[in-house]
Amino acid sequence: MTEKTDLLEILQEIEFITDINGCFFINAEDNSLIESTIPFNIRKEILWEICVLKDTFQQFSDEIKHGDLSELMLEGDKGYIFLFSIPPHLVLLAMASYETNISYLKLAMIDILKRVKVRIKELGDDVLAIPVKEFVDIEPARRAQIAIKPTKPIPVATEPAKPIKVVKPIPVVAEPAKPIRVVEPTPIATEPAEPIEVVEPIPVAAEPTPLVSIAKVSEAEEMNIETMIDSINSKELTDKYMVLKKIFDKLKNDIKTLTGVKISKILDLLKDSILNNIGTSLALFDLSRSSKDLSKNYESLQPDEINKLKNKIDNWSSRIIKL
Amino acid sequence: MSKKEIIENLNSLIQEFTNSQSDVQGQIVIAFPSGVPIANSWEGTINPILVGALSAAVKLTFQNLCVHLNKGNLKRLLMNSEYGRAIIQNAGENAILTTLIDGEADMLRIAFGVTNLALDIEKIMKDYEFTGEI
Repeated sequence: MTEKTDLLEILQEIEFITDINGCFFINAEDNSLIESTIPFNIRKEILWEICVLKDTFQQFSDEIKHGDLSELMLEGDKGYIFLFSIPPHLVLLAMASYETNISYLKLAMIDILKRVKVRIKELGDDVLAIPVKEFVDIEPARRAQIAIKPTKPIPVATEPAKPIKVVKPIPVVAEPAKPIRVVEPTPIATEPAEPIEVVEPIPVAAEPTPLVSIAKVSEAEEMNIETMIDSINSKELTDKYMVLKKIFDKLKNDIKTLTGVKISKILDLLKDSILNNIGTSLALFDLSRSSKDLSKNYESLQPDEINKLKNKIDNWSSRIIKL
Repeated sequence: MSKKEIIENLNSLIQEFTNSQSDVQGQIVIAFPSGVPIANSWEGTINPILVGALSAAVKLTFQNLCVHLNKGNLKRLLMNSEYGRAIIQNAGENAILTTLIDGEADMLRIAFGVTNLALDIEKIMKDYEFTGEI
């Protein structure tokens, strides 16, 4: 509880000193929102991608020999979004309007970030235990506001009302109803059904099935996925997505029987195929990273690893497949 | 304009800009949605998957984030690191311009120049369609 209060204090301090209006702390380990100054929910998939991007841009920074990544600034038509890396586990997301004086904000943030980093470092791994903060999505909240808001009656200038002429009702003469003639149903003549001959089942000699080793079964399954991956090449875009969905589903089913190295090979094939047939996606980078991690594992995955990978596959599927 | 001419024009354009600014280390033009670098004035190598991921990040994720947080359409992204900076800028629908800059560079001057350059690249890339050959 104290850690949570501390985090909120930090965010409120940032808003107090600078022109930033809206600050969030994101836990980069499990892609969740843990503290914010405004009751606004950021979609789970966006949080996931922000955390993956932190690593992507760190790698980019390493490749161009620019050292550790400290900040990302997004400039939109209507304002700015800042992403600050707060080691070891957090990302600070801050928003500012387009009228903000960026030079002043940057100057103020140098000192603030230095202090924030020290305080977060002191909290250490306790930060990971802070529960996720959930808010209502902005759209339903807005809709609710609109529904609750009472509307004032608008005064309209009207002419004095004229007396309405009362019209006497003309009596309508109804004709007496004619009796309905009831038609009796005629029975349809049917032929009697022929008796069915009962045929005795002929015994079929069952062929002995050869015993197949587990390794061969898993190889066949892998081949199956490989063939499915190959088949992405010769399809329409919608079909490609459908095949891709089937591949992801099959992969999820087969994870238990495959070793890390085999899954890594499948993921590599899948990555190349998606890149060639569908186009680039940030999920591909995530996918290639997982493949790299799995390539060192020569055994079957542990139950918690299986669950993590299944969640990842679901995430890739939702980010790549646009049906 | 043929594909070869488009790429030659792009290369000369970014080479000219890089040479004119002493604090610009290099520039990379990335085709979108393929995520393939098609023109480069930076003397170094980068993993193509990483470049693809960056382009997707800018065009898809950060665009989504900006819209979701009511900040309009994404115009550019500034990356600050320990020893340097990078500006990743939209250059029309088909391209992204990445500019690598020294740590002590004058950002105002470079950001202004890069915005103009992105407009030129957008004009050149108007009819560009990536087919796998460069």
